[in-house]
Amino acid sequence: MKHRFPFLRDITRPKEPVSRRVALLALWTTVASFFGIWGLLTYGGYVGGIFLPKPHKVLVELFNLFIHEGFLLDVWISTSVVVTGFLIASAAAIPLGMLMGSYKIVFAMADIPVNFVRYIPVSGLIPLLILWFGIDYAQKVAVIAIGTFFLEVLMIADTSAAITKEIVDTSYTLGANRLTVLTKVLIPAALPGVVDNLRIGMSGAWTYLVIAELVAADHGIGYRILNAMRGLKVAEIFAGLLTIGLLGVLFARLFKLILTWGFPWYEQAEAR
Amino acid sequence: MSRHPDAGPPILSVRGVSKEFDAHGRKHIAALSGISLDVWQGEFVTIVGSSGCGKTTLLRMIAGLIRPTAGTILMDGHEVDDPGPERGMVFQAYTPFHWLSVRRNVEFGLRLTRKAKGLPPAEIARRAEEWIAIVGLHEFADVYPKVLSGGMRQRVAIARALANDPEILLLDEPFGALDAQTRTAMQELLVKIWEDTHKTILFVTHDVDEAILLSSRILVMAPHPGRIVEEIAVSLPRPRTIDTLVTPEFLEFKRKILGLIREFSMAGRKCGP
Repeated sequence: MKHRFPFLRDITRPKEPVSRRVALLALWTTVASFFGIWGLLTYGGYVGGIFLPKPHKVLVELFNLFIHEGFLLDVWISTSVVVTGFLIASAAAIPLGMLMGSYKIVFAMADIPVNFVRYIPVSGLIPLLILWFGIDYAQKVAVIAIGTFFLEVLMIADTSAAITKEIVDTSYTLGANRLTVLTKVLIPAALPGVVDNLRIGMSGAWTYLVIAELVAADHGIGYRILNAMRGLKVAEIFAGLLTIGLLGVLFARLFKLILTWGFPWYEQAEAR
Repeated sequence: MSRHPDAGPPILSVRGVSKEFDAHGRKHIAALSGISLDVWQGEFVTIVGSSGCGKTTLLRMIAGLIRPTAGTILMDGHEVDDPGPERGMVFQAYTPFHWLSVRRNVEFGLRLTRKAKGLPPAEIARRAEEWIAIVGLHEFADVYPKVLSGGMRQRVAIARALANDPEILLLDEPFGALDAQTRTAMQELLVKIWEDTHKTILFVTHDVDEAILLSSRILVMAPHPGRIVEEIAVSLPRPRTIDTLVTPEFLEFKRKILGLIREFSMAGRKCGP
């Protein structure tokens, strides 16, 4: 039976893949709708500029920030804080997470304590961290490192735990011992999943950055956003948020590239 | 055709093995009770029984992956305590290492034990190549497992286990997850490998046809508790193929084994939980 709208029929079927062209078209539809609605609300005069700036004003502000106000330095400082905190968190979360997922004894030791600390909001720790690390670089790195660590460690534990017992048992019957099962089986099997966990950890790191910079800072994207708020410079707030969003897209792409090029054997899930 | 089992000591000897499990805090459940069996060099022995009779548990104990509650398992006269490369195993679940190419998968065991065995790299490569060819994966030697079908993944697992040259190969329903056509092809492949190499194989299945087609000897197990109730020497001529399945002799074996399984599963139900 011939369908009247074959295109509509294809794209509304669950789990059915779409072509690259359709995917790009879908992306542009979202972007265009976003700017369309934004433009309609502002240029149409439905929402005042004090609440929602006109799109072109945000772009002008973005240009102004980078060219005249040294915003690139803030972006650089924030990025370096995020990356440092992220690296410290990951350096601890990767081994602990893998051990938790692979050895029941480590899981028994760490599971409840990790969950206990994880439920404490990082923002609640900030006063303590200011007391310990001051209000400079170290404090912000600490906020990000702690928040990101607890976000990552349980995901990495899950990734490691998902490696089947049959895979491990098979390697024993091929001559692996306690050490080689770790180095030749458990670690390589978990690695791409861990990279994917780190991708999500990185997005968390940016969230914690803004929390850290909103509280106490004299540089950085978060600081700029807060400062703009004080002066009711709404376009500048939007310019700051837009910058963080764009950085997020860049980092997500970077992790995808690492997965695709570093682990050609990995079966990546489509919608992640 | 089958080797006479009285020639010399068996390479594998299971003596009075029992296994109990804790079932959710209730009293111990006897999974296996007083199992004794011997396997001689070059035999193809199949353990057949309905699901839940403990045949997989028995195989995992022989592999050294779990320990018996009572009794001993001897491999070449040495008590089995841990898994080891002399007891290769293939599982029902697909186990190719997905981060390694087919070739690296097949080389895995040899690379692990190459220092102990003094194997030069060229010899490892040659043996892997040979087994990849035997299981018919020559064209796929350098691909990753993600592109392989279920049957091909089991071919990788079999080649990987055999390339490691184990003294006995333990197979735990390796074709259980495959479709009927693929399963038949794999059975024919395994029959051919055994007829060519006379590798000692201990095979576990609930598929009676499969058991008769492949084995030189069948051990029939019954559940509640798991025990061996009958031993049958399969005297069908070799080479065996898919046509063997319709001969009167084959059907006679099948009738006998199915009868045993039915009889004991009924008895088990009467006194079971």
